[in-house]
Amino acid sequence: MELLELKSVWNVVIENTISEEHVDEFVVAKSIKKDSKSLLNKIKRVMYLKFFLGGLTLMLCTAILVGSFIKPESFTFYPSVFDLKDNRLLLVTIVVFMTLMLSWNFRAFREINRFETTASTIKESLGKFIRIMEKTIQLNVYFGTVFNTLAFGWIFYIIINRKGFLESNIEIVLMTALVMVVGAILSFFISHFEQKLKFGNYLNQLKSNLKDLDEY
Amino acid sequence: MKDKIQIEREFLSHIDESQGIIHKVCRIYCDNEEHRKDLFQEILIQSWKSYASFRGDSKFTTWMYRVALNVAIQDFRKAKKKRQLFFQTNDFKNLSEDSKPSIQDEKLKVMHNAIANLNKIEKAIIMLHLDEKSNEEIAEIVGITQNYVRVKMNRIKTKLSKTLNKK
Repeated sequence: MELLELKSVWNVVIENTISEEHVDEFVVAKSIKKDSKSLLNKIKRVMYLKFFLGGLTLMLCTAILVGSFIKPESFTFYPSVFDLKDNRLLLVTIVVFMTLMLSWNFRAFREINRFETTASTIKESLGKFIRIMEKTIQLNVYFGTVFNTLAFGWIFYIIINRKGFLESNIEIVLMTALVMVVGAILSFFISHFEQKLKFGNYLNQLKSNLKDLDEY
Repeated sequence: MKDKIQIEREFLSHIDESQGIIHKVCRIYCDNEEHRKDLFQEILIQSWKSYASFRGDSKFTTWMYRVALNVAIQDFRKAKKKRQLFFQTNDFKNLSEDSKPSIQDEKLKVMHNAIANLNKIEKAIIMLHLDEKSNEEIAEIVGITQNYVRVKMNRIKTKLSKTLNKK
């Protein structure tokens, strides 16, 4: 079969498809209002959840933190383990983490929206898409790691305080720091591996496509 | 200032005229019926989302090719264990009553194999070429120089003829 013949086979297939599968305006109008199943839209859906849960946590923790300064006796929790200073430290940790997480996610969200509403050339669009995906993956890995590290640290702190395993402050600090470092390393590699497993091949393929468009 | 309904009407009429582009892109990138339908739907959604970026600087078809090809190239779909054939439907068999289905099927398979051997970018370029787009237009859609379009086309032709001549 020659290229010309391929062209004629292609034309026949396409003519047939268009005549048989032509969709009328009513169906198109309905279709454009449906929810997209694209990868970016899935990422955006997860972001909506993060905005909701993160925002709620941020508001709640900020309110408790402010309350702990105004009326300390009403805003202590887990009194058998935490003193007021611990309470405030935990709340500050959560507030700072949530603020950073929300602001970085919001930036990424805006970037995805901008990307979705423009129609660039294939080369430009592919480059931008890869950058967005890489940033989103980094965001997931880093914030996942920070979240898990803080969680490990605080859970460990609660356990050793409740059980009274360790007496001196320096021991507590050292042991908590050690747990956090180990937790951070483990969490980073697991999260990195998970993202690589999910998107590694896909991103490599896109990068190779982009390289294919490089003239020099 | 156009209102939203007017913009939507304008968009729908554009799509009605240029719907063939979406069908072509879906045909070349999808290996089964379900995927084809999903991609068709996704291209429609994406083109509506980015319709505001169409300012009429280029032809609507050029803009439509860009959107459709970008969606198809960036499509994230895990490979299924069991690969289905590229053109699964029997539509080709019904094209002409005079034609012998077996020969047409054979040609279809050859075309399927030839196209399946190309990567996503090569599929875009060969599709535009099969659609008789000029090198200038292909360059405008893909975002490369006309010279590089020529280089790419020669490589694709060589790759295709290797597959086609095997048969």
